[in-house]
Amino acid sequence: MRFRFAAFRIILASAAAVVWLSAVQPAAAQSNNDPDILAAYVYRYADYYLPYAIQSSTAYKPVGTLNTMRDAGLGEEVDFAVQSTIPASQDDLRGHARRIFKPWRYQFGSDAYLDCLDWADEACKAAYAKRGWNFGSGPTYQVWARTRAAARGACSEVSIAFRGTVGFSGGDWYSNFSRFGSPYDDYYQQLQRNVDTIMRQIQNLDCYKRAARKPQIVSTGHSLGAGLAQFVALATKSGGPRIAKVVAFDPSPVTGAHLVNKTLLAENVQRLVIDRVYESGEVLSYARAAVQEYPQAKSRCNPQVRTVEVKAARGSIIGLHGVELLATNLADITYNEGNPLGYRAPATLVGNCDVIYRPDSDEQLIARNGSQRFAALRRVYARSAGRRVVSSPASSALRSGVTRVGSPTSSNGPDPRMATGPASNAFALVTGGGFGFTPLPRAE
Amino acid sequence: MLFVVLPFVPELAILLTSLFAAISGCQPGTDTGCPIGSSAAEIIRHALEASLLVGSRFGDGLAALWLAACCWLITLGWPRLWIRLLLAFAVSLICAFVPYFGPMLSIGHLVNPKCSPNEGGVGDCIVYGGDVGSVAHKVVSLGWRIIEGAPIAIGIFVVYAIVAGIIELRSRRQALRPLG
Repeated sequence: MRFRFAAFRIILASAAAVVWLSAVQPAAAQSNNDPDILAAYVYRYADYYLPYAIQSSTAYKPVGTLNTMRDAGLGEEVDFAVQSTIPASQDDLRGHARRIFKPWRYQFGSDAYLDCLDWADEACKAAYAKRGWNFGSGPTYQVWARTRAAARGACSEVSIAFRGTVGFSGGDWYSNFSRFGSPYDDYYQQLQRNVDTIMRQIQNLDCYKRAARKPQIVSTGHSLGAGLAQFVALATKSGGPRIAKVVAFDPSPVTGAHLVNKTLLAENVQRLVIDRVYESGEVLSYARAAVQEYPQAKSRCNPQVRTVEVKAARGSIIGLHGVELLATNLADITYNEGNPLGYRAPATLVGNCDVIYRPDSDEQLIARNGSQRFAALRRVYARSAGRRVVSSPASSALRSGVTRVGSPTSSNGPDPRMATGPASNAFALVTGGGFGFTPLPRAE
Repeated sequence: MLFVVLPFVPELAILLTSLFAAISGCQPGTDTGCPIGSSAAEIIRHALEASLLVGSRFGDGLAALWLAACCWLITLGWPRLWIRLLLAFAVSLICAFVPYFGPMLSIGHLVNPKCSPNEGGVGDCIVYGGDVGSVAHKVVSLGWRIIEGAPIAIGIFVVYAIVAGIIELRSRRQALRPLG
């Protein structure tokens, strides 16, 4: 009888613990220390993520096609990228996406097996000598640069976009399952010995050299490409330029962290931000929950992992795993009957965790100078464009000088999901053109 | 044998259609249609949809039922333990791999500049003059479901090996009893 009573007490205590934990969980999820963006709020940031989604989608297209367009120098790659991403049936969304993507220019890329991009690199040569067997295929990546408003020919941000899995490519699938290492010279290993050369190639870009302030380097990709994008951020060598931010769409649970030595890993994750953007319920969301490699989704600082859930489509878990669908949805949810709803970058300081990445200086210019400049810019652009200006939902926060990211769109009080930080990146988009970006020779 | 092959009939249909198309002189990358039945592209599209459904359901757990049924049939058909285990292992391997990668493999030879299936769902897929549609892209993403499917297959095989071992031990003991 005594035994039964003891068992009853244990069961009661366990039940109480379960109730307490389930009660605590939602409260923690709504604290200011939480960088995650829930599906209900993602429309505010969708325009921010759209260019990276377009790049991740275009990464599935042949590098040779983009090289030809780059060499022509007419900016055709912008149209090509948008048309590759948004279906022809969504013509209005294509126009919207083109305006968002206008400042970006394709620079260079590769879709070949990466032996050593620079044979003068002794470390690469040594790693190549110890390589495993391979299928002769390598990681496909395309490098894009965002042109700066103030200085022509200079760029403010450079993005490396990695391609996901294509067909039954042995190289792709072996890399997908390279969770604990493999005897195969997979894409993670090829990138590990070449990532610093790629970073040097970026530093040698004309637009990079011309920039007065060093452009930020970010990486992006879809699925396998998102895994590779995370890996390059973790694997850049000490002392060189670093990846400031990763935007990973429907990312693979494999990040290749097991290949990087712990000292370098600890150095590279300092002030790094990883945004994992995915359609709710897509096939890899379950895999990430079960077998996610470092860094875990709960990592709040060094690196700061932000989960961005998009819930804009229904379908099978397989059908939801597509970057074309995700990019089209991102374009769609910020675009209402011909008007963009606003542009906002996620918070740069959450829970006192400082990060390297700062939104584009053009955005900061507008965000910092408050209502006067903001209103002036609105008037100027409205006059010059002769079109309607759509107010940012966060304009009230800007006017009051409050650096609150995720300010309320209505008078319902502040949004408890969003954090307060020093950089408010919210501003309005002017229909018909980005803020002062160098216009495309033939974008329209 | 027939029971093992049954889930993979759609893949066989794709391979046979491609074979007949090749015999008829059709090329996968051409714009002109290939008149096999209604059209080769239509047959392939429907077969891919069927194989996607099979693969998805296998990942959902149908693999466990199918593999258990296979193991039961193996037990009924083969008396020796090592043959049972060998066959069960072979069927488990098939179950762990083919439902998820089979559809992708079956269209591997149809890849052409107008059809490059990818998990991003980017671009069209024109085969034998017809659009196979988004299903060609979806079968690439289906490969990820091996993360669910393989543990199911391995788990069922391990359970079967234990059960088959116990059955063998018991039958040996029973056979020894009259002698003692």
